[in-house]
Amino acid sequence: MSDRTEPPAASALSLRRERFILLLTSGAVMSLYAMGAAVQTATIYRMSEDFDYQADAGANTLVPRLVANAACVVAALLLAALFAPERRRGAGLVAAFAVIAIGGAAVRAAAQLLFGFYSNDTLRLLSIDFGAGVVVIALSLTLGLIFVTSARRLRYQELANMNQRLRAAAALSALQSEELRVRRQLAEGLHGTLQNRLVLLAARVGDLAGTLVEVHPGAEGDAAHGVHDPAADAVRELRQLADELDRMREVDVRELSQMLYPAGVQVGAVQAARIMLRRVPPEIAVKFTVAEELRSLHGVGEADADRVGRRLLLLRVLEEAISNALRHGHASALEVAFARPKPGVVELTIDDDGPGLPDGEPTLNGLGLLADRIRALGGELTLANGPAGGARVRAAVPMPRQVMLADRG
Amino acid sequence: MTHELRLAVVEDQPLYRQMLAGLLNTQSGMRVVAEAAGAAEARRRIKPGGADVALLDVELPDGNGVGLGVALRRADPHIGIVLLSSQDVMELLLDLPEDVRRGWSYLSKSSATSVETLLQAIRATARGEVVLDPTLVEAATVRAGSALASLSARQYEVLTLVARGLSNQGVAEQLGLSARSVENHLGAIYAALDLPPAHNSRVAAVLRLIEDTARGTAR
Repeated sequence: MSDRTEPPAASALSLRRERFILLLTSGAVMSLYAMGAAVQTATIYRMSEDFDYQADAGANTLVPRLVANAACVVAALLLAALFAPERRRGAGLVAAFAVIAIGGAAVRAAAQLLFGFYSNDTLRLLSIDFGAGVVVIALSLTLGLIFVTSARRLRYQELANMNQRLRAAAALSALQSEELRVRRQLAEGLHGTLQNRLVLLAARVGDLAGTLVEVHPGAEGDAAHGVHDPAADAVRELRQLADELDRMREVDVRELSQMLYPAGVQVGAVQAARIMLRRVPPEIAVKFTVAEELRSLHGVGEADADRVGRRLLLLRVLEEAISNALRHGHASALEVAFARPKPGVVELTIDDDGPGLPDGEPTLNGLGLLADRIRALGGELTLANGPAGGARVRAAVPMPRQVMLADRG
Repeated sequence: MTHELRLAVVEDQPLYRQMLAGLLNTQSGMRVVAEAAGAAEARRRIKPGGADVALLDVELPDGNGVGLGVALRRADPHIGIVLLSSQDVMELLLDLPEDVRRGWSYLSKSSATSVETLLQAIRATARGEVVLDPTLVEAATVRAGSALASLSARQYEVLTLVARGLSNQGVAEQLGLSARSVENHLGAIYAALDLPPAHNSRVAAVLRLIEDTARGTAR
């Protein structure tokens, strides 16, 4: 059976399905032909016999002819099931075709011989009937095989597409883990090393000012005495520098670190969003609502990279929406809502009270890249005018379940 | 002190943990009974009924202090939780499940938190109060359009003192008022914030100091 070279991907299920397609298609064609041929032949004989013999003699041949043809079809299908031409190629396929066609045609010829259709010129009529049977069966089988082949091609295509999708998803997930790792590392570096160095630097600058005051006791006082004292200027400058360094550490570095890896993202998207929203200037009214199902804390354990990545996407949408609302929308109020439209999906909606989107197709701008990434996860991001007239950003991200350790305690 | 407070310290940096435990052990009326470097270890070492207050670092190598606190509280309804973090994540208190809300406090490692503040927070937490980092509360600005914005300056002052873990008597002494008038202020605050009068209003009001404000920078 060296001809049976199915690709390894073909499962028992798909093999059964292919056999079913072959038998159904060729069986249907053969049956139609069998019925048509039986009716036609019986009618012709009857018409010709009308002249010579009794009027109902021809009608009697219809039923036996149908029986003979049905036997032929059943035999051919049984042989086809047995020899499985859909799994063969080359010589094996030709041999299977020959066996099925000859076998089926032989059964028909034998049946017709048995019913005594051939009163004279037996050999010639028998060989014509036999030959026609072989041709019809072979044609039906060919049609069946064409169907099988196209179904198979479709299946391979589907399989290839699925593999492609899986590979793409794996690559994306690897990329995402790596991005998270780098983000976290950078944030920790900023938060730890850089901040500590800035603390030391500010302290040294402060010390320097102190030393200067010790050397020039007059330098501490203000310059209001009318005498220009360069030492006092230097002390003032140094103190300002120290303050500047402190501010840089407290504000700039912290903000950068927050942008890279938002605080609270390990705990949950809702929690990190709260932290982000508290940074919105106090002049902006903020209404924050969270669906009850999403309020529970996500357990003690560390969240996996995939989960944190999905939360990070939501947070970046929030960040972008807030900055759009404040910068372009001149909004004075924000409404942020976390909902769970169905289990396993988290939906974030941000509405502002600005003038809404400019006319025409809304452009996603900074949200565009995020939209692509969310779509890749099977989610959706939309930008439209909200019911209140301002802009509405909505992101739905599938969120796989996680075991809640806290609830088990 | 009626009885000695038994404390647990969960912190992954060994030096900080040891210094904290050493400091607390020198205080009269306090004793550190358990130390752990991570969430899993903490759950093994802190037995129900074994500690009165747990000091938890929020950023733990194998999880987070908030989730750990919830787990500890569910195992022991009487344990108080003091969260410590270097990242200013006081907002985490807002999503605590209703059943574990009382007796949680938050102090920032990077704010100007003093030893006195820490001890005060531990004691208040043991009583079931919610104490917020005073530096962060001071830096917070009331958000436009929030219920908190409708409080009078005096009412807001009372609330921030309650958030430090002061009792009504303590607030009264601090402001030179009678305890009775502090109670009246609190009643007005609960009404303005639309809080249910009986159920943990004190805790809920303090949490509004986080929910209805914008953060300033801790200095």
